[in-house]
Amino acid sequence: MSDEKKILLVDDDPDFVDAVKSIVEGAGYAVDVAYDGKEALEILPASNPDIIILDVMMPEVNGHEACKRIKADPQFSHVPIILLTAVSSRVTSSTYTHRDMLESEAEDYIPKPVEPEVLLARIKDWL
Amino acid sequence: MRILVIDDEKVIRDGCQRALADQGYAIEKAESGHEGIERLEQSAYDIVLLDLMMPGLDGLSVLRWIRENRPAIQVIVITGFATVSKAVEAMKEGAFDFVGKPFTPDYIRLVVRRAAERQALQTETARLREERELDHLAIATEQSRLKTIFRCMEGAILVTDPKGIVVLHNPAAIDMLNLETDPVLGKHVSASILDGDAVAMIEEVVRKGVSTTREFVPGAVSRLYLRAHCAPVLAASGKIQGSVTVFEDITTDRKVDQLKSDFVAMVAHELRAPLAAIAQMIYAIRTSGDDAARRQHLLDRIGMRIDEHLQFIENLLSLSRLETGTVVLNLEPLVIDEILRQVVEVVRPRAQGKDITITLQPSASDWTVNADPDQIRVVFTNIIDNAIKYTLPGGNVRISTAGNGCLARIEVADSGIGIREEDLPHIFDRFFRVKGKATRGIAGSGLGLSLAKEVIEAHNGRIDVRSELDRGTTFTISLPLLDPPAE
Repeated sequence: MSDEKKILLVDDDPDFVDAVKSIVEGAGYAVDVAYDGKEALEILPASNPDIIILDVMMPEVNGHEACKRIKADPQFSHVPIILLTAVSSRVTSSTYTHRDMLESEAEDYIPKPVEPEVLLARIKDWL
Repeated sequence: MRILVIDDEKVIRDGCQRALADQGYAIEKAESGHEGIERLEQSAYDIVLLDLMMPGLDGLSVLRWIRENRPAIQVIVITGFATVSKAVEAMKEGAFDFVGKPFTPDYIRLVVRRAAERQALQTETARLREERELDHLAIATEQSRLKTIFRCMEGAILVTDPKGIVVLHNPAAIDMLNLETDPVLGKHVSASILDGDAVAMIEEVVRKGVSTTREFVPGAVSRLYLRAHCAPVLAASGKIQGSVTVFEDITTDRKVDQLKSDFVAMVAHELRAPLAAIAQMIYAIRTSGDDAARRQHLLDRIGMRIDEHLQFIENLLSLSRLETGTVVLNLEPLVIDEILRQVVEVVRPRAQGKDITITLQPSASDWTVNADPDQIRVVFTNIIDNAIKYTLPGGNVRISTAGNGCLARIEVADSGIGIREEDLPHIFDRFFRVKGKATRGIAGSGLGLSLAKEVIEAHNGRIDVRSELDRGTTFTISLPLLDPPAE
């Protein structure tokens, strides 16, 4: 299908990636996966996704950093990004905070785990 | 008051006694200079009535003896009018007064009363002097005590007068407050402390006379995190005489607080992330339709992740118990090979499932250590499990034990993926996990090795690792032998 939309899914937990992948594939999307921010940036040109689902807490290059770099790239700055996070606003300290989410350039963010209906509805909204 | 009358004439002795009898004095008598000195040596007297003209030892000699040996005694000399010059000589020698013979009882009473008053005054003076000396001593001791406390105080102490001029500081202040070596005494506090807030704090305390406590971040007053207690010095009248500021270094407290909250944040993430994956897999089952194989795969992964998670919580609790010292090691003689055999039996199915050969090489001797069997079993399980996890199918894990001096050395060697050199120093850190393509999909808490290290160190042993990327990793555990071989 030429009008099949493609999702780039980035998360460091393979089981989580596997589960989300099967949910969105079941809804008819094509999926490319990356397991950290660095890998996501590497495969971005070849993948050329319509939307990016990006976990925040990842090794190497974290989600916020990856998001910033994608938004700084004129070729991909228009691609909507949904940040995924298991971080609640109560966790402060040296991890990521609610404020980071609000200041991020990402179009949307969803807490993990995410119900299939919610996830698919949000993806549809941005495409 | 005790009075001694020394006279060779009985009439005079009795006359004196009669005249003074009802005056409240205790009166004793001596018939000669010799007898007088004998009595003076034996008992204490306040006043001596002394005849100058006596056969044998004369009065002047007795007077000189008294001045030399009993200087506190008041001496009144008794003398005939013919020998007034003698009396004058006696006065020069230190007699208090003289009485000429014959004398009236009133007169002698008067002279003796004056002597008694003077004696009482002298006693009181001596007592006061002694008291003052004791007070001085007590004050000096107190001062020395305070000075020692002041010098030994770990905190920095800065004392100012009411104008904020530094009048005193302890040695710790030089270091803690980065005081210039140029003397700070006699100058305004703003010359030694550059931070405006700290100076304002001290100025406010000397102005208002109210204590205050403030904290200063590194870079304000000095490179340290400081807590300052500033209090006014008040006179008895309530007037403000100056200020005392004690600076306390709380850098370590702050660092510990930071470490603690970082740790809590990390634990929170490690507790939540696997649950998010498990929940997401459950959602995936819901959307998996009638794909039974897919469903089974997800269920298997969920089961595995739950087991891993329980193990993580178990490890976390064990680590915490070990660190707070609330764990009691139940030490008993353990034959290492026996424990290893039990552990290998438990993990063998996992190794076979990945087509990994696991071999326990029989050792030359039954190496025995004094250890807690449950704890040691956890250590061996964690290490051997890791070896299986990080070895590709078709590889092998070799376990062996040998004696080395007074240590038993257990080696767990695998033909696995190895550990990068830059990761090696961190593998015993809490929550550290080697991340990359090769380790993707290998579940783990990042606590197994931290726990192993803590347990082995609690047994006075050590754990070492060497590794070559793509070739394999060898962990070596050394534990003290129960019966080391004789040298």
